Amino acid sequence: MSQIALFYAARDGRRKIIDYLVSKGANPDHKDKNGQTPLYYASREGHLEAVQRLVELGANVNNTDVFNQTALFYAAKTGKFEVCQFLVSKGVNPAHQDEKKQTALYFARRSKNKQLIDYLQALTTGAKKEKAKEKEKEPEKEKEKEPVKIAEKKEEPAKTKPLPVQETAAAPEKNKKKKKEKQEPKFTYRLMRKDESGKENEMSVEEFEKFKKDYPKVAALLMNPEKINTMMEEGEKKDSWEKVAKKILSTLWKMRGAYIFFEPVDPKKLKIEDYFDIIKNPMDFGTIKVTFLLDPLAP
Amino acid sequence: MVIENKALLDYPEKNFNQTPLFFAAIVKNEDLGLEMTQKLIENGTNPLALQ
Repeated sequence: MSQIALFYAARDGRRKIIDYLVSKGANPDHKDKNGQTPLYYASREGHLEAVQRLVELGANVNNTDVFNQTALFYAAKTGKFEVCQFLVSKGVNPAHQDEKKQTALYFARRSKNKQLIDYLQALTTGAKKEKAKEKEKEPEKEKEKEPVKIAEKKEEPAKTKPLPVQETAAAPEKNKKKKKEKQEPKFTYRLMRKDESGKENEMSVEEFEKFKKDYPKVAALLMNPEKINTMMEEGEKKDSWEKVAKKILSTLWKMRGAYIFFEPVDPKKLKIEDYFDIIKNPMDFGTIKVTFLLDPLAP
Repeated sequence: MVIENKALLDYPEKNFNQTPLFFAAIVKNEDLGLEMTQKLIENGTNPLALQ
């Protein structure tokens, strides 16, 4: 585990003991094998005073663990509103994304703490708006998104007449909608095709008409790029089995008493000589976790 | 009392290598836990021992 006693004091919110251990040389930023510091444990358990003290003693609020998560993620997972508020006030980025591109808000939603969800939602939306404003300031050329590339092998050479550019944003119907659309950048898409040499060219109207006849369903989708985005988002929402397995493992890992199963049983150390006679296929959470991280498809 | 009888202050717990300090740090009564922590460290327990 590579943890010092300070982790225990932090987990149980023992502020005075935290002070004493640090005064005796314990590093408030000591990392365990998951790259987590005592701050993660105090945050997860919602010990605000301990969190505050660790920060005062120099704990780095923006530390990220092996999952690229900050302590805010752990406070959010368990719905600890005040701790989240404090960490954000100390400079933790509420819009920070972990290795799976999830933010603390994602975990807060699972905690079902409405106050916390609203708080993080407002912060995340605020961060997004600021980003959008920054983008608006950039020159128009940079503002354009890269065109959607559709690889379609065709023998015919590219013709000169380009296909009209499609705008994805729907025409405004009401004044309210108008205001909203003004804030959001409009993206343009261009249909590209690849010839046999692998060179990409913009598809002409004539070429697209022919493509429409050959592949009407695909063409219908291409005429409505918003639908592609929606389909992709829906696909992302569906949890893969790997995601579900990781969730189960992560839940089990955090259960009280689970630490007993963190490492393989050592029959020699524990003096259980008949262990392998009784347990034919020994397994432990640590081995499952490492195997899964290396290759989730491994047997 | 036990300390005065020269207990092994860094004796690791069987399975998880935890020294008594780890247990003192989480005693429910914090003042008592602090006192125990102080006693252990003053008598030679390593505050940086890893579990």
